[in-house]
Amino acid sequence: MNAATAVGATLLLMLGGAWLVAVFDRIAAALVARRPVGSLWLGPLQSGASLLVSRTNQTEHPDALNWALAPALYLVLAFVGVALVPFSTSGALVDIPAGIVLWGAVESLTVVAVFLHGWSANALFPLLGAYRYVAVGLPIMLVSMFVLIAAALPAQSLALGAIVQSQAGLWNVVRQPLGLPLFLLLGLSLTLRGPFNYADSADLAGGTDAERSGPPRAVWQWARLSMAVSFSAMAATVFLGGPLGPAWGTAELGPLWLTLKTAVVLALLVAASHLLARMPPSRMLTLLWTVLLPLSFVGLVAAGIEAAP
Amino acid sequence: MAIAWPWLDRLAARAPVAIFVAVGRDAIERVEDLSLDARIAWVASPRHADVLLVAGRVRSEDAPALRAVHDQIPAPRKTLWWGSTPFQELVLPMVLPLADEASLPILSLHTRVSNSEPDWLPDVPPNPWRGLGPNGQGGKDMMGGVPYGRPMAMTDDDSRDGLQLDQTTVQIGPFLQTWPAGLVLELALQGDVVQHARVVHSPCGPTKGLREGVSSRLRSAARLLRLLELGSLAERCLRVAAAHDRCQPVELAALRAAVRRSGAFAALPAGLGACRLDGAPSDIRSRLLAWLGNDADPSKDATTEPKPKLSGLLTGLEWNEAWLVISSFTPQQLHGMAVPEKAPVKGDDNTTNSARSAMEHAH
Amino acid sequence: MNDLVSGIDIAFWALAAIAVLSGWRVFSTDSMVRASFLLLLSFMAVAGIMLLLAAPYIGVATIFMMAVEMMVMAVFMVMFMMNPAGLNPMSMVHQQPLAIGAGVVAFIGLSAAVLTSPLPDQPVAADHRAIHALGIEMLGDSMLIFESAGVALLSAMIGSVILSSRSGRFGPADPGSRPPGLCEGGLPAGSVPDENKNHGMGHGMQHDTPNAAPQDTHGAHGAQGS
Repeated sequence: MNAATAVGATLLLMLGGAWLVAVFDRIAAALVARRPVGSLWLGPLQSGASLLVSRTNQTEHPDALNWALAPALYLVLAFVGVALVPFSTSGALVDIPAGIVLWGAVESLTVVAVFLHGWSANALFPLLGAYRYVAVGLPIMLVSMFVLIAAALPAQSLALGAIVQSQAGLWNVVRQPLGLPLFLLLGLSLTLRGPFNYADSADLAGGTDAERSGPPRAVWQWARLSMAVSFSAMAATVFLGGPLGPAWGTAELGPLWLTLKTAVVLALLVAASHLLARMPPSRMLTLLWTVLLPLSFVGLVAAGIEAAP
Repeated sequence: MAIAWPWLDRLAARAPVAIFVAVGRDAIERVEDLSLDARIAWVASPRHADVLLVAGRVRSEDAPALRAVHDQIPAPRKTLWWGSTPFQELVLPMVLPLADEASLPILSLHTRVSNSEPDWLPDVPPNPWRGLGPNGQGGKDMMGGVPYGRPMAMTDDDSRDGLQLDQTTVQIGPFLQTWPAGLVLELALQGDVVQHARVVHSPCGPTKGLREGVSSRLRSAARLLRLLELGSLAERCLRVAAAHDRCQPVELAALRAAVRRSGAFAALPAGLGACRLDGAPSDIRSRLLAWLGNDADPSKDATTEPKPKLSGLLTGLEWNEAWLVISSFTPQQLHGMAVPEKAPVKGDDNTTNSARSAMEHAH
Repeated sequence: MNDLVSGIDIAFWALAAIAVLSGWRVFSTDSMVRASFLLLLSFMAVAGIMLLLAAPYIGVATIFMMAVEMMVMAVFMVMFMMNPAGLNPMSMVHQQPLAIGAGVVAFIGLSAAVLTSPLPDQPVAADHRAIHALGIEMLGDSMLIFESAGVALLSAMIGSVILSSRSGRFGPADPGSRPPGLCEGGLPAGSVPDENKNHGMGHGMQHDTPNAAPQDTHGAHGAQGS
């Protein structure tokens, strides 16, 4: 596919996906709270519009440049993540041989973006949210890198196109059962949701977002939704076969399969964020370093043994 | 700066009204029932709100904080006084008795009134700092002093392992969302770990006649669940409590199972907030379990055992755990535990007085 | 030779300019956190140049690793300076004459090395598998170097954590652990630790009472410097 089509498809997936995440959020909240859903399809647009028409505020002596740049950086990283994903077997918008490592760079720069958003506000609760997030966000990134390397082993390549091709016989979610659940935890952390919401949480009055109002806050919330789409597309590619469809399908339906699989992972992500409780940070750190990291390493070793020639 | 397109305004008008609530005496249950309305969104920060709702009587010592919170609401800002007396100098404040429903007045206030209220505090820095110090920042030099009117954080030992980190003293409260109404704590924080805690103002205690039993326990459970990022489950608890208040039969076993499945009990560390309460040892898990239980025994408040001190329970905890511990007590229990304490005797710091009079407001 | 400026040339000069400018700004900014992120920006520009040199893995891995490292550095700075955003404008440089001298000498030395040595001129083939070649090298001929470096780093990390933990080498570290005496009940071997707790940092010069005055009665947040 040529560059213009690829850019258009990427933007469409990001915008439509962000809307879909917001819709799933409303459905999940209504189901858990046992109440009817109000204004399902227009609701996200109405909330976004109300954020856009409110005024931007100032705090005393913030770092104005970084405070304005952090949501933009977050949004750009989400775009880079979606750009890495191959829409069809002919390639992705950004097709480099080290696709997995570029996604790792996206993850680490997301931590930087969230930290800058909280630090620049020059207030206590945003700062607490920022460095609490760093304390949890960095180890979960290690877990995700082990999981991704395990997925790259059968493909013998770090490129996403090769990983997709290696799943032609069997999807990675079946071949490496630990992979997708651990990767979902990373998704919760990247999008500041549910059990991994240490940055924008209720016990910090909104956390890194607490002192922000107006269009910059709208961009930040939109970037969170876009990052959910980006993560889900990556998970669908690495674990669910991406654009690969059933044997009787044609190659042109690749984007459709990718979109469906992304929607499935999005639904899982939203369900996890509404149904699971969040631990205090020190308890979560203990769990990360003593349970999750060894588990991901075990998965890596198992994948290596299986993929050894 | 805002974006002004007419279709955007029309779209935004259909969104729920974001309210920030300054909860006073005896009003938290009315506010929680109001928050179940789909047209109202109860937000955690005044920066995210359209309307300030002052619910219940606010004490005179909380009035400066109320002024500061009001000035943080982005323009156009409006205030509704629900069961409280507005400040003297206000022109035509909107007042409503607490017994009335507030949804429609809030909606009409948001959509029909477009003038923004003026600030309630003068727009001056809390302490004179310009021109002082080598860089004009109000400090002495790179370390110490009072830069920008606030004492600079200096190192002190961490109580857990002796590591020397910066320590800063802040006052938290009284108007956080789902915080005990009127409680003001002074915390010495190292990172997010509480090194010392002191109760500055006790919470506005519940007056006699507040509803006891299943409903109030469910509401306390909802406040705790919200802190575990289980907002939807907390809303379900509030709905069940509201149904119980309307004398409808409620079944708690399903709710208890849902809370257990979400891992709330596993997420809370065992032994957190452990103390002797009502004659028996309890920690945060057992208290949450008791709130979601089915037994309808009345509150066992009338024991002669002295209540544990809140400031002692919070020392050494992270901020997240500290708020969880505070939320694990009912308002009645907290009223006895959070007794105001005097500040420790200071040295000859003239920074003390200048910082104590600091009032924070920002546009 | 094509004497029209190609896109790669433009990209190279732009990235080089970003790297140099942000590197300069690291020293002229007045906040420690900003300094560490400006350093990150400089490293990212260098990583972009590595991508232009057909080293995709090294380029992207540089971005990845530097982001994590600068993030941890920023957190350490916040930990030791709990003023958000650095309320106190502070100078980031010390011992300026010595540092300027060392910088000039290093610049002259490196420039001389680059300009006088013959640099290779070998464009790689378009289908060159750089990552494959890197993998073969790292786990083939150079495996001993990389694995021993990794093990050495790991043991250094573990050792430093153990040495600085609360249960010190000769007893609990809180009261100041001391090595046992050379004879029974004698003076401890080695130097006696200084009684003053704040040695060497210059940080605790002014001992304002840590739990000093309440800062401001902020209604909702109690924020310290907002």
